[in-house]
Amino acid sequence: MPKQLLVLQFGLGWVGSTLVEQILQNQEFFHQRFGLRIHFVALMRRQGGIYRAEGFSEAEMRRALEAKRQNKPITLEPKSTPMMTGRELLGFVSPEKFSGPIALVDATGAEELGRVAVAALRKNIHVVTANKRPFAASYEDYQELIQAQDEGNARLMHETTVGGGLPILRALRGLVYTGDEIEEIQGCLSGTNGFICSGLEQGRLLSEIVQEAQEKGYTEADPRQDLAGWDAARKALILARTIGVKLELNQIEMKGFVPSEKTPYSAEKFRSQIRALDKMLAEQITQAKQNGAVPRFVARVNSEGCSVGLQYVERESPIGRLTGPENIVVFKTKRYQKNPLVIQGPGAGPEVTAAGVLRDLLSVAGIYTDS
Amino acid sequence: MAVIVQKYGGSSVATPKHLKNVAQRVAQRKREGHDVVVVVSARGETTDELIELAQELLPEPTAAGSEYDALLATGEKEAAALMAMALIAEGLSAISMNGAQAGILTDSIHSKARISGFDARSIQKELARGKVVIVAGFQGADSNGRITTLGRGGSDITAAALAAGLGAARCEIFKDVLGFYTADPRQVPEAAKLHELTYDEAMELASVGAAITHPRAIEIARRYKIPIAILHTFSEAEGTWIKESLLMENVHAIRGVVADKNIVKISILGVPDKPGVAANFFVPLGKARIKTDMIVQNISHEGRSDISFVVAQSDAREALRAVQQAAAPLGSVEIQFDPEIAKVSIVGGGIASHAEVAGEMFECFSKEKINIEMISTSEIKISCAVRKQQADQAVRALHNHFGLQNQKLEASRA
Ligand SMILES: NC(=O)c1ccc[n+]([C@@H]2O[C@H](COP(=O)([O-])OP(=O)(O)OC[C@H]3O[C@@H](n4cnc5c(N)ncnc54)[C@H](OP(=O)(O)O)[C@@H]3O)[C@@H](O)[C@H]2O)c1
Repeated sequence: MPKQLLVLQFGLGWVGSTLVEQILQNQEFFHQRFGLRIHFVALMRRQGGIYRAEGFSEAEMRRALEAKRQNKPITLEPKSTPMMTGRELLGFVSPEKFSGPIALVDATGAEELGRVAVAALRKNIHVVTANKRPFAASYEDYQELIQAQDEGNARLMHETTVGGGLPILRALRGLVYTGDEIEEIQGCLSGTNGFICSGLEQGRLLSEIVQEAQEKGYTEADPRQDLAGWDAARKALILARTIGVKLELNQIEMKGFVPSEKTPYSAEKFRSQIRALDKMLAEQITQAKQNGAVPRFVARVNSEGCSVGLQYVERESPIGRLTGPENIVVFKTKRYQKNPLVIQGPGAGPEVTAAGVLRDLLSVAGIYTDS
Repeated sequence: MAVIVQKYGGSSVATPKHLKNVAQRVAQRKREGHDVVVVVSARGETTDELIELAQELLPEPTAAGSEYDALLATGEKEAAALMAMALIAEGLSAISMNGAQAGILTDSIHSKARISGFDARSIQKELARGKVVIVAGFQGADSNGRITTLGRGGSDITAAALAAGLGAARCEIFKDVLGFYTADPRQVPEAAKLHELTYDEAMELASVGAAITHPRAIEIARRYKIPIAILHTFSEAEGTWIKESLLMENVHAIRGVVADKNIVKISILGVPDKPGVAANFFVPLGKARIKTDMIVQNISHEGRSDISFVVAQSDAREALRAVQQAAAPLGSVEIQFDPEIAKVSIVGGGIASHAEVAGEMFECFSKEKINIEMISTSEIKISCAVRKQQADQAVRALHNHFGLQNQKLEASRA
């Protein structure tokens, strides 16, 4: 009997569509190698989606990807059931009726998917997610999510919420589960800020680098979010919670390039805000260089708490040697004292992130069982 | 002695404390010398809880027809009995009735039944005994005696029907808002309360999404010329009167701006362009009592055309299913649906006589860079479908453009 994995796919953006492509392209490989067939039984976007217990064909999946690419609404395929919300969809999916595990894939950036994930876990539907928002929501909501997993038989996999495709969370869990004591985690978790730090190190002006990053589409619509360090803070929060620290996002010490502001974004104001920093930063960096230090955007996590922001670190250190948007995480533990455990590599990008999601999916399908 | 029908919504009867408050209101009317009939909705979240309970057993419990209605009807029955107790505690003599006991007869379309008749005798008998009669809203029974429900907003419909059948002096609908406003005050803080609306205006405002009362309730009141007063449950302030206009001409071109975000746009692409194909889709939708709006058909290419329309979110799945069935024999027809849409409407008795209004509305949208995707009009309203995330902006812009915050509010002539 071939194994089956049924997938409820939420989100067909960068990560979601790449994942669907990777699965479609490797169907035969999975079948030959593992005797596994992956069927998409639901496709959900912001606007709702479609469900069919028998699964969607490759042609239908490609049509859905194409519609998304052209920014068109989803097509109601023949004999499929329209769904307005994720909660509604879960009402229709009864795991008992399927032979094989069901997994909900969350490739959205929506915080409310946390509630959907909880409902799924309670129905014994696995959850595999790239979406950090639910894990960086209030501690209470986070706790509910973790409990939903602990109390049931379904698994909650979120490797890609920190460092994209890099095996950071599974390494961390490996340390915690074997009784090691985490003394400190340091890391550069934001590609955008890594790019900026490298530029600064080369002697470029902040305003110039930020403009390039904006032009290349590396930043969010409101770049102050990146420069304040919110993305890195969410990832740091997930690391902290993974080692058992009870922490809220607003308790993280934020030392980004700009303060976190709630005022509406104005491109002009932002530009002058950044220009005002150019001189001061240039001076700081020259000074630091003389002491053999370089600017990095560092997250620090220990049992006391968490901070995120610009720091000057020794050039001859794992973090100091990092270049560009790459991510790095350095685990200093009781066992890894002198020589910390280091994981480094590309921390984002649809190909590697989707592959990370896929690895989690194969894991819940029982293909392999590390982590 | 004049009969007054009062209706209290779910949030007005949510807790014993609320019920006591309401009982005092009722007692006051009674002391003023009126015969009082009270219609209640289910308490607080009761109906949603019942639906969730049913969904644990059946993903689409409406498919269970009369059982679904029998379940939902319990929410109002519970509230009615509790209301009667609260009145007895107030020292009044009171009796509760479910829809069928009150004499409400409906057709057999479950969860969307329409009232086909009302036998006033059992209520009249109790009123004659000096009792306050509490009726469970939202429900009736069909000719086989099976319990039916009237759909969302059904308790308002019950109240209007009882007021009509009993020849009431007025129908008072108590809410947690003070009445109709020129716009939803949550969207437009400077929105002004409307003291008086004609039946037509109120009906149109209600049907384009002002969630104050149900258009079917207003329609009944209009037919039987029963004035409706929208009042606040816990405030003595004057609300909105809905009644026949005494004015010769409409002084206000526009009375209100409303955004309805609970809609879904359905598009049927590549329909063979033959006479009768539209009927193919809309006849089954009508049979299922699904209201469609903003219907647009454009001839696209090679003798095929695209049809788009909007339905209420709560009807979307059923509507899509009906469309899917109708499309099956037509071959390569594509169906799309899009809930990221909202309908923004302006309503006013004077729209028909003020030709400039439509142009101004579109101009206002273009200034705000809001793209209009569909348009529909009636004598007294113009509706535009826009992206959902622009709906609030659209409402504010229109409210401001038409100066509704300054609308001279004529004194009530009640
Ligand atoms: N890009 C990366 O390299 C990377 C790396 C690590 C983690 N991630 C995380 O992966 C997630 C997806 O990233 P992305 O770059 O693929 O984003 P994206 O291109 O913006 O795509 C987001 C997708 O999610 C859908 N969506 C949004 N809200 C939804 C809701 N409430 N219900 C259902 N679907 C919803 C969107 O629907 P519509 O199609 O209707 O707009 C869209 O298809 C994010 O959480 C991100 O932080 C990304």
